[in-house]
Amino acid sequence: MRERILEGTSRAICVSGVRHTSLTEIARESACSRATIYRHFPGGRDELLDALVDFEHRRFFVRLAQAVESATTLEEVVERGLMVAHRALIELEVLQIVLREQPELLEPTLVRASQPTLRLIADFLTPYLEAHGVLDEATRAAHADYLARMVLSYISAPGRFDLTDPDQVRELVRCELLAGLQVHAA
Amino acid sequence: MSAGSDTSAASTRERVVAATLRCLAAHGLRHTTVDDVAIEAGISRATLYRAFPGGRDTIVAAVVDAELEQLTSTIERAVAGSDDVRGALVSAISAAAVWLTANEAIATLMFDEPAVLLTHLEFERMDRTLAIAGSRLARLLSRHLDPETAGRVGEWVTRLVVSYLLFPSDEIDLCDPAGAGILVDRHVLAALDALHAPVAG
Repeated sequence: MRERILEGTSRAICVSGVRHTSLTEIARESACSRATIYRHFPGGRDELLDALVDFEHRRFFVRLAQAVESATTLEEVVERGLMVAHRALIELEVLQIVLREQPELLEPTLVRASQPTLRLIADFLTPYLEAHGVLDEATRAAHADYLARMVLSYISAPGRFDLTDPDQVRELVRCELLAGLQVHAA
Repeated sequence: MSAGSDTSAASTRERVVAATLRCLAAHGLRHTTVDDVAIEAGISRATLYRAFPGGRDTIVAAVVDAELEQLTSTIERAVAGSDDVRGALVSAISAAAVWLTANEAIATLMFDEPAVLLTHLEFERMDRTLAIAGSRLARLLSRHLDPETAGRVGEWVTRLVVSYLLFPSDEIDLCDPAGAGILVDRHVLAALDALHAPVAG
């Protein structure tokens, strides 16, 4: 039920914007009563919006992990991850609306989740780095941290690259990102 | 319009930017109003709006541009004396990190309103920051690198500095040239070598 309400909230925001989304509208989108919403989110609209950001954040990274889990090499996992994440971010309409209208809503989640997100990506990449030939554990940790930082940076701001173009992503990953790892150094 | 009024318009803008920075350092962005800025700058609302007809948003944009300018000229001074690419990169990174860490407005925002910084340092506006800071850095590096490589490296360094500002590391302190050096040796120079190495396959 929580999930259904959160999904309803997301849809309501996409229709009306953050400021004009009321609990009545959320109830309608979630096909439940206002009383049900209050039972699950006693803090009402504020609690709901806070929970929504958390929910979307988590869902984003779960989907990203699913989309890349069949990759076998470091190149593949980073390339696919960048493309999937970039597209998902653009298509995540509710995020674009929140960013435009009320970015401060993202604050609690960003503060709470930014460091863990970096760690999550780094941990996810670690086995791929090992397969890539980075055998020393300390070097691997440093490289995982570096790659995670760069990947997060490119996901949110692609700069000179078009992350919808597989050739450009390939060039970025092979010539720039992975080139920044000294694989064979001691 | 006389040259005199141009100068005074410019100085009004400067005063407003400086006053806004003081307000941001003290109270953050959310609690800073146009009135606060006018009082802090010691000018009337009318004068302020003449200099910034767009109001609050245009003031904030001017502050961001002015601070970016300050940061890049700080980096320029730091890089001036270096005689190879490694030296230039280490100086640029540590000077940027020191400046960012010492910036009181940024410190207040990091603590109270990180979303304000994040919307400037991630998503669309980050692309603009990258383009401005990255190309300025690239120009500084062009003494040591060809223009295309300098462009790439300028962008990497900007991304790294922003990343360490947003997500500080327990292991690497970029304010310390030794910390910046680790990052430069381990990643930036490695990528540079790879770029220049003959491509196999």
